[in-house]
Amino acid sequence: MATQARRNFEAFERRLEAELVPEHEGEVALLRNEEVAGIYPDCEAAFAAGMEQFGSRGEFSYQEIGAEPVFVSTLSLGANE
Amino acid sequence: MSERIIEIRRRQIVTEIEVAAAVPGEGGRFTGLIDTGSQESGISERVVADAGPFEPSGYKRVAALGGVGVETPAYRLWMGLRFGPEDDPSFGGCFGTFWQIPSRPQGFDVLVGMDLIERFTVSIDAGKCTLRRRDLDPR
Repeated sequence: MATQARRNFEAFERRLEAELVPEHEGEVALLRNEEVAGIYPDCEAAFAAGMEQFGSRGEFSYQEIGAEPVFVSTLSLGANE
Repeated sequence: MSERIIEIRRRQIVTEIEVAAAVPGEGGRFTGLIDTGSQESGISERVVADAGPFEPSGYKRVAALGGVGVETPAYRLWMGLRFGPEDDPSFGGCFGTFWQIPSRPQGFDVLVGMDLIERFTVSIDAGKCTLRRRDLDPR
């Protein structure tokens, strides 16, 4: 069974991010049960709010709105294995 | 002591990295590769299992410079270096949302990216790398 974070991410990619980008690009969405539970200025604030509202890791997730991919070395993705 | 001196072997800078859920020093220690080619630090599945287990706090889109991209779980954790004696350590690091490495490259469990590296004064000279805690840097 997909985790809360996975389900939230799929909903975020499918519909939520496009709705949020115009007004909230660069901010962070707190997510719970595939819906937006709040918008915060950074990941630290979103995580703190999630812990306060939902009690534990695994009960919520957060996503950066309109974030560019993180660039890493090819080694990190196993291309050299 | 505010410095970590690492001997460079096979042109790689490898050091012990601490990973914890909330309190520095109360997680696990893992072998990390200093990786200036990565914008952000990554952890292997083994770190997630052994230092946790942790639930993902979200997902990240991660792309290699060559163009290959993946979506991978990300975890809200503390990551850093231990300084000083074993019985009275101090720590230099940060909380962050660290992506999970899809593979375990060359046996490393942590890829220390620029999000952590930029917090230290780093010098490389004569086969040695020195990491100095910025908060104790006299400059």
